[in-house]
Amino acid sequence: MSHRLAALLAAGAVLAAAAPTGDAHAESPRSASVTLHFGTYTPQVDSQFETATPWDDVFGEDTMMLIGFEAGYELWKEHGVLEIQGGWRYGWIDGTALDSAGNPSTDSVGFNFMPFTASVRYRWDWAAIHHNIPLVPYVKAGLTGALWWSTNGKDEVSNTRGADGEGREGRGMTLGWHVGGGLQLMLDTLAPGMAADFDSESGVNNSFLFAEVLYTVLDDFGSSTSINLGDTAFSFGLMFEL
Amino acid sequence: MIRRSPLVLVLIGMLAGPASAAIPNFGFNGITGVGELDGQLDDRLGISVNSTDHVINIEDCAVYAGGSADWSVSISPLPSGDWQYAAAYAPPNKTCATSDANPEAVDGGCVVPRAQRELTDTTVTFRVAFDELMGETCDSDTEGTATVYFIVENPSIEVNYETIDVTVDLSAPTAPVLTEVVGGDGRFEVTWTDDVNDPADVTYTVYWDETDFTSDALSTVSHKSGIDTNSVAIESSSIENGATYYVRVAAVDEADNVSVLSDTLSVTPEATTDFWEGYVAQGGTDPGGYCFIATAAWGTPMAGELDTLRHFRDDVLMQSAGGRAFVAEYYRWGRFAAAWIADKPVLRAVARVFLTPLIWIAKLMLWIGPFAGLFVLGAGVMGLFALRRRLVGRILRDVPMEAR
Repeated sequence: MSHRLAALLAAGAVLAAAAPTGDAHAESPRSASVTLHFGTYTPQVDSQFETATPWDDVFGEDTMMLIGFEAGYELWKEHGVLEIQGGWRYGWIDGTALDSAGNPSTDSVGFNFMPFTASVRYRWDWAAIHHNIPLVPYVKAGLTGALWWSTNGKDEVSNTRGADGEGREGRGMTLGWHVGGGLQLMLDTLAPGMAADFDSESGVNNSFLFAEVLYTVLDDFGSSTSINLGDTAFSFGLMFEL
Repeated sequence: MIRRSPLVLVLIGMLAGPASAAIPNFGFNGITGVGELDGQLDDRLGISVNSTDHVINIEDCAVYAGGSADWSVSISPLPSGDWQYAAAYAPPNKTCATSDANPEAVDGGCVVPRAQRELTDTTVTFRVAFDELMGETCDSDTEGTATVYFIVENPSIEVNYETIDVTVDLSAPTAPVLTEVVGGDGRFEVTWTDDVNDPADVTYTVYWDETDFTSDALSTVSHKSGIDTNSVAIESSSIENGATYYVRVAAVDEADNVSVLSDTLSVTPEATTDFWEGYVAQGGTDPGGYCFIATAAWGTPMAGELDTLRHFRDDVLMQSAGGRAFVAEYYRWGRFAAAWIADKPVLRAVARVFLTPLIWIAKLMLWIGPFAGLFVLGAGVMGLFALRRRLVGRILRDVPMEAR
């Protein structure tokens, strides 16, 4: 890992050295960001149980793909950028229902997960803006509300009865919070001319590739009657600063 | 199908006799069964005005055998001058001559119910015998296109005609081979192979019943038709776990001819456990579901959030006079709002968007108490106002005073 970080920093230094110094062009005002996320997510449902593994029994070791976007508004840009963000993602995973003997059956079942996020993010882009070092670290924190639904072999929302005989519908909304951070690679330094054209033609000031790790606690703030859908998940993607 | 006269015939006609072309202002009015067939003709024969597809299959052949129907066409307005008309028809692989209004069998198969009649009415009806139109017996396994002709002639000057194609398909598709039926939870999956029929020409129908059946009982057994793949999941509310179902499949061609049934396989669906059922069975405590006007917004009771909101109602709102008044007004008017949005997907989505932060606020107040919750909310609102003031200040910093 340390070798990769060193390589990344070295690459950044090379890019910085290759990049033109000073403002190569007059940038349009920055005020917002749009981020496209691609990542994986595995709700830690089984962590609620001492021995049972209802998630693993059906979905095994597979992980769900989570895709989505975030839109941000930049509030403060003095020494880095402080912004508020709203985001939406969607992920799903397919598994196999168990027969009466507990073995995999022929019924394909699933779980759908749609978290909405409200975040505050701080990006330290001072070095990128003023010294052409194309790496922008950031941290973020916020609230998460996730819609989810489990499907049965008929691709209908699961429905069953609890021990008390009451109907239990396999969908809901679970609330929680998240905190995380990441590292962005400013693409403008790779092709300054193209970046300038992108800005003048589309208003996109800067483009970034990024990798992010997000720790999400999603259990209705510790409610004893909530499913645990939290996870520590990685994602990567593209961000455009407008 | 109405077919225009071929260009080559026009060219030949120009060289050898009166000009020939399509009939101006020609229309198809429909087909009416005669006698016992009155009201018994299938729609696939194209019996309605302006129908363009006309099909006779094996089942129709059996019904129509020995009968006849009146075909009606129109020419409106009529052409000027003295015109004669003829109506004729030929079974598959036979043709009628179209050189004048007295058609003859080119190859011995033309039937002429009307010839050299004066064209005085805009609507003409003529009788067609099905046996002669189909040309073959119903078990002949033949396919072809019969043709109905309508010819008009201004003697020695001009001959025009129209043809109406009738697809006669007396060939049933081959039965598929049923290979597997696998049971699931209140469902089963059926798989078959078909190495004979052209996939573009057939669909499949799967039949199932709790007792074994033959083709004689197809009208009484459950079925799923129009399947254009070689497997299908049968998911009907009538399928019960533990019951044994007998399954057969048949191919259906474009003329709706049905093959003989495949062999029978049986299956017994059994209950399976999906993730949510496993979660609940193993002691998972989340109640699932949604809540509130949200019952209408999400279309289902929100059990988990409903508890939150009930607690918020009882523990927060009902503890003050203002809160009690709010609850009373909500119960007076909220149910109307819920009923109003229940069948409006867009409004339900809007309600979902607005309810989500309300649930968050309710949870916040239940979590840290109403006064602390109000303090946090107030601090948040004041912070946003301060932020806004600072932003506006920054924006206006470089704007001259007189321009503000």
